[in-house]
Amino acid sequence: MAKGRELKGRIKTVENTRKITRTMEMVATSKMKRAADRVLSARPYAMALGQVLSRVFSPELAEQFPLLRRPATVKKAAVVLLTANRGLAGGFNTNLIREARARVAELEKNGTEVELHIVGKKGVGYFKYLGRSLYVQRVDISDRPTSEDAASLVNELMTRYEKGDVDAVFMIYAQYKSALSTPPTTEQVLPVVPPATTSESKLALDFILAPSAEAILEELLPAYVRNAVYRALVETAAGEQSARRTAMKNATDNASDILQTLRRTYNTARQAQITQEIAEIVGGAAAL
Amino acid sequence: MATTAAPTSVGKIVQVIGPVIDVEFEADTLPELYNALRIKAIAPDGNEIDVVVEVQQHIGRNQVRTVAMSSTDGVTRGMDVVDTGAAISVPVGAPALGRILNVLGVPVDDGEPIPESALRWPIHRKRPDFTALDPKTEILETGIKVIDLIAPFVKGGKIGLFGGAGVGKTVVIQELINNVAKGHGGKSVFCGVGERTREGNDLYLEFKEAGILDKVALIYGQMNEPPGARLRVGLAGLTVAEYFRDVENADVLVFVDNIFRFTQAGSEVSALLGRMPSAVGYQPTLASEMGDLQERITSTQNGSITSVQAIYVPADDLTDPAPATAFAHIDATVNLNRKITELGIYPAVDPLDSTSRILDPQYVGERHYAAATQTQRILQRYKELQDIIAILGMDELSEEDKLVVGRARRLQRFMSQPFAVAEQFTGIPGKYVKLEETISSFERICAGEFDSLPEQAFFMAGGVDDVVANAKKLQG
Repeated sequence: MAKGRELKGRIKTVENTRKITRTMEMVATSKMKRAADRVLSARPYAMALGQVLSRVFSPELAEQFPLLRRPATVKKAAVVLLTANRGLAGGFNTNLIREARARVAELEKNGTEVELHIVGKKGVGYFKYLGRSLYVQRVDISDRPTSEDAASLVNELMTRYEKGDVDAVFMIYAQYKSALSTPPTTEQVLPVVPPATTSESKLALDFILAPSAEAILEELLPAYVRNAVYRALVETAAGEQSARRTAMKNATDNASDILQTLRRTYNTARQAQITQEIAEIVGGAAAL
Repeated sequence: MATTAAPTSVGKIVQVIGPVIDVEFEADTLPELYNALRIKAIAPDGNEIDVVVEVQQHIGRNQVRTVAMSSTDGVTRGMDVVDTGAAISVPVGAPALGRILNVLGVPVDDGEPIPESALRWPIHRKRPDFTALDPKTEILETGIKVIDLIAPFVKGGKIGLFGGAGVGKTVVIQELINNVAKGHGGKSVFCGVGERTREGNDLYLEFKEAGILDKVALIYGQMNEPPGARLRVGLAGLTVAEYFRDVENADVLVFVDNIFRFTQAGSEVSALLGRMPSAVGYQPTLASEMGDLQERITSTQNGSITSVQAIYVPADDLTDPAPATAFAHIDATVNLNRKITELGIYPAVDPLDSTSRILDPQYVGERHYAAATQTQRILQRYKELQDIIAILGMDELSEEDKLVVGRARRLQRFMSQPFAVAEQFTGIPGKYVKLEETISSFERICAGEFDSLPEQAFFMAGGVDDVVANAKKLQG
């Protein structure tokens, strides 16, 4: 019954794996709920911020603010990639990394130098495996990101952008469209592109601004960038949980399927063994 | 076992149970064990009966228990049985070449009868002495990639092809005959034990077509024969081979398809002979029967016998006593696995379960050994990862493991190979791959040189050049 014992061992292993994946599925479900709430509550503020920015913004102001400067040629670009700290989330991290690699390859093809800012153990591990040097690697941002996290990630970049060290900043994150769809997305963070508004609304509203538009933009631009990063962090965190939930659900289902076939094989082997033994005993008794 | 002429004695049948016949003789004229007895009579329905039986036991009361070598239809109690005074014998040497003989050494190919003057040897012989043995370690190239790499054959060694029903044992053995026997130049003996009669016929015609029939002796006791014939035909074939080895000092190739049928025949008569069945219903004498046969298939200082034996594995269970007993005697084990046939990969050799005594850097060289173990390591890792892939999916693997999986899948496909004898099924002409090319191909795939080519390109290829050509064709 060597085969039987081996099968029993495998059944046990798969059962344990299934227990883990099922637990992870439930944990991810509850975490996803809260993370999705954070995404939803961050949206109105981001939208309002964008509206204000586009109202205040006018092309003439662009020259005065370094964050709005548009270099003719992009010599150096920073790519900020947001990934998860943990795996077992199906293709979540792989998809983000793939998107980042495509973006980096595209930039490098145009002769742009690329520096990598990577958040999350999975992304860091992958690019280290490729042997690329990373400008920034952060593995300390939890699955409940704060605006401080966003600020610490992007403040230095803004300063360097103002100085002209970097000519463009791209961010790759998982957009949280719904629990089932979290596509990897690339967004240009710098130079700041104010959200498009319809020209009518701009004409219709003529504000008297105090303090001046310049003074407002001075404060508003960094806040807008920080908020964009914060939103991306929150969406990625929510995306991770939802991807994990789906992956773990599939894993649990797969484990159940495997268990079923293993149990059947085991029972067949066990029954065959019993039949064999009976046949041998009966045959032996008859021969005596 | 003695063959000296004993005075001919005549006995009478006292009991017939299928292939087992009890005969009573006069006191003191009992035939010796393994003597052949002949029953010649006219049956009540007018048919002529000519049955040879072999003495298995002395059961007391001046009776012997015998096993018939052909059908016992029409045999009745009281018929006369003549002791021939000697064991069953077969013609050896030149008269056996180019002929199909049955267990009694009688040609069954509708040809001329074998002349009376031909030299005959009894089929029961002693195994060579320990001091006469000559274990060899030279590799025998087969042109089959996976076999040459993982389970290199020993010249003068014993090779076992293990496999369940319908995994391709016979096709592999036929390809080996095609690749090795046809270019061998020496003498070959093919022994058909309890397998399909049609295949035996095909083989005969193929040898005839290839023009090497005069170097081949075919000894058949196929599945239509009673157990007695299937039990003894292996020994008959061996006797022919032994003559070439011992008297002509030749290097002989022996193909046996299928050793399991020998065990099976033994088990069929065992209970009728009054032995109590042992594990899984096999005869209690399983190990000694197998030993007596296997120990004779060996190379001596005179000449060598390289044997390739197909061994059926009942219900794909290698722990079944019949294949398990044969295992111990084999130098190179080639395991054919049903899981691999399910992937459509032929020959379905299991690279993790097949091995050879000479797969050792000392005999095959460091390079061959390294390529084989590296291949096995990659496939082993893939096997370990399979559960993870099944449950969690490919995405959860680390980058290194993804690479290993990709390479393992390519290696697995690369182990398929078009066979010359299977051209009618695959539509692809057979490919013979030289050992050197096999080693370098596997080395380069293991090193990741072809990671970028599609997996499909590795399927049914010869050397690695074919893979590159296939890939070009696939990419249009």
